[in-house]
Amino acid sequence: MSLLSVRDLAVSFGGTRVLEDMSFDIAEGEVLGVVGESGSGKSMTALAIMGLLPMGGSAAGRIRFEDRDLLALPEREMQRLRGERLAMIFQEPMASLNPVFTVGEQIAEVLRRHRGMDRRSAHREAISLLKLVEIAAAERRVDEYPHQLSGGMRQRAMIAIALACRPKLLIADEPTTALDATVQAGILDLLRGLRRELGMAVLLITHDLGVVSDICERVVVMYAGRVAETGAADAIFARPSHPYTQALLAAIPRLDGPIGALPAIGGVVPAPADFPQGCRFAPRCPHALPACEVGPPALRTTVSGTDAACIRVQEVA
Amino acid sequence: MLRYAAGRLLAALPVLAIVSLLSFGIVWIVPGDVAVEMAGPTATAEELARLRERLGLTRPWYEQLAGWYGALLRGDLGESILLRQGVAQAIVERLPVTLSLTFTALAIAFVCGTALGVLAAVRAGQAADRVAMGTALVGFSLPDFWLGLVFVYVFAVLLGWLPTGGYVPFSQDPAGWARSMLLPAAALALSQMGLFARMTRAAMLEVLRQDYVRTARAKGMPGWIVIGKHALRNALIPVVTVAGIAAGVLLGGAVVIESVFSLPGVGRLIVGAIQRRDYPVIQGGLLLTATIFVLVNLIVDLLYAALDPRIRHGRR
Repeated sequence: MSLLSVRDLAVSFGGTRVLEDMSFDIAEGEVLGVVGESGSGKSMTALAIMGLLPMGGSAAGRIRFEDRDLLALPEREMQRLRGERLAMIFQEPMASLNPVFTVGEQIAEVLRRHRGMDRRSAHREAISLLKLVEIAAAERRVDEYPHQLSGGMRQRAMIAIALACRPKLLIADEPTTALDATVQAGILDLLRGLRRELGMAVLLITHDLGVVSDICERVVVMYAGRVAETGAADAIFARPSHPYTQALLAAIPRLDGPIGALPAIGGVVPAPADFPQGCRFAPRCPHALPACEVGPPALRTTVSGTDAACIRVQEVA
Repeated sequence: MLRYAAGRLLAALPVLAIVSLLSFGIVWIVPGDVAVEMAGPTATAEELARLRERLGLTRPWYEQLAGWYGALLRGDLGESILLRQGVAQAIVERLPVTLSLTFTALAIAFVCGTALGVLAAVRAGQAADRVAMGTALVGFSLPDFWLGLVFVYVFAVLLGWLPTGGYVPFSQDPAGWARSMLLPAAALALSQMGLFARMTRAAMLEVLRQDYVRTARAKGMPGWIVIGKHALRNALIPVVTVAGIAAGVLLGGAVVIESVFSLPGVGRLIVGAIQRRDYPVIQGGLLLTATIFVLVNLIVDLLYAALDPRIRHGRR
C-alpha cells in the first residue's frame, strides 16, 4: 500500500481551476519528482496535501495519507499531522524562517509541540538536528538568528525543522531554486542522504530536470494544471513520450550535444482563466491536430512504460 | 545590545541639552518685559525692580545661563512666583498623577488597540473587521475632553459606579487609585487606541502574508500560536514605534483631561502657570515634559531592539 495516494485532485480559486485531474502515489521511502513550469500547479499540489492552500483556495478529490483522508480531516487533526508525519520545506529559506526567533527556538518549537519535550531537551535535540543537517558549529548556530546564517545554512535549518519529528513524507517545494549552484548540490546530497538514513518518502517539486534525474525514482510532469506525463524517471529521461516532455528535455543543454541555440518551446503557458478546452499544450504543440482541441486527453500507457496525456502518443513517441 | 543601548542613550543627550537651552530661553523669547508681564500693569517700579532682581534678569546673559545650568545640575529649577514653593518640589508632588494618567492611558490604548487590530486583520473583510475598524474610527474621531465629560455623566453621575474626579495615590489605596484612574485614562486612551488598532491591522496583514507564517503552520502550530506568537511578534515592531509618538500625544492630552477630572497633575500646574505668567514653573514644566518624551523614545528604541534581533546586531 502506498504512503500517499492522490486521486483526481483539483484546486480552485473562486471559479478558476488552477489544477485538476491530478493523481499519483508515493510509496514508503520513495522519491517522487513533480516537474513543471511556474503556474503548472505543482506548488498548489503540495499546499493542498499540507492543507495550507492560500486564502480563497479550495481542494476537491481525495488525498489519502497512511489511513486518513486529508481533505476530510478536521483542521485540528491536520495540525497534529503537520510537522509530525508530514513536513514541508520551501523555496525561499530567508523568508521561510521567522526573523525574530533563533534557529534553535524554531526547531525546538516543533519538538515541544509534537513530542512534548521540555525546553532543555528540545534545545539539546535542536543541536543534534543541526548536526544531522551538517551545519558546522551547531552548538553556536543554534542560538543565532536567521539573518546571521548564509542562504545554504538557512535551508539546512529549514530541513532540520522539517525533519525534527522524523516525518514519513517530506514535501520539498523548489528547495534549491533560490540557492547558488554549489550550495544546491550540497542541499541535494543532504536530502538524498537523509532520505536513505531516515527512510522517509520525498515529494520533490522543481522546474529543474537535472535535479529530478539526480535523485527521483518516479516523475510527474505537469503542464497548465494537468498531468502531461508520469512514470519511472529512467524511462522518461531515456524516451520521453509526451510532446511537452520531449520539448522540455530538448531544452536542456548537453555537453555532448551540438553547439548553437537550444530549442525553445514557442509561446507561453496560458493563465488558468485561459486554459484551452482540449489538450492544454495543443496551441504550442508541433504535433497538434484538430482532434486535440476537443477535450482533455486521458493518460495512455506508452511503449516506454510511462503514462502520457496525448492522443497521438503512439505516433510521436 | 549593550552597545546599542549606550548609543541610544548618548544620542538622547544632545536633545536634552537643546531642550534645556530652550527652557532657559523662554524668558528671552517672550515679547516685552518679563517682569512687567509677571507682575501685571499695577506693579510699581520698585516691585518690578525687586522681581527682576529675584529672577536674575539684572545679570548679564552668560551669567544667567551659567546660573541656570548650575542650578539644573543640582536639581534646582528655581522658585515659583505664585506658589511660594520650589518649582522642582511643585512638579515632584504632581508628577505621579500625570504619569499615572498618561501610562494607564497608554496601556489601555496599546492593549485594546493591538487586540482590535489583530482581530481585524485575522478576520479581514468580514463583519468583525468592519466592527473593529468602525470602533477604531469612532475612537479616533471623538475629542478626549468630550469623551471625558460623557464618561463622567454616564459612569459617575448616572450610574454612580466611579468617582467624578479627584486622585487617590497608589501607595495609599491601590483599588481607589485604579477607580480614580479608570475614567480619565479611558477617555484619554480612546483616540490613541484607534491609532494602535489601525497600525496593528496594517502590520498584521503584511506579516500574515509572509512565508514564515506559512512555515509556522506547516510545523503544525495551532492557529492562536501562529497569530499570537509568530505573526504578532513581527507586527509589533512598527506598532511600538507608534507607541513612542502616542506617549507624547497622551502627555499633551493629559493637560485637558486633568482639568475635566480635577486631577492635581503637572498639566494643570503648567496651564495655571501660563495663565499667570509664572515663568520658572513654565520653564520647569517644559523641561520635564521634553525629558519624559526623550525617555519614552529611549525606551521605545530599546523595546525595538528587544523585539528585532536584526537591530540588536546593528543590521538593517
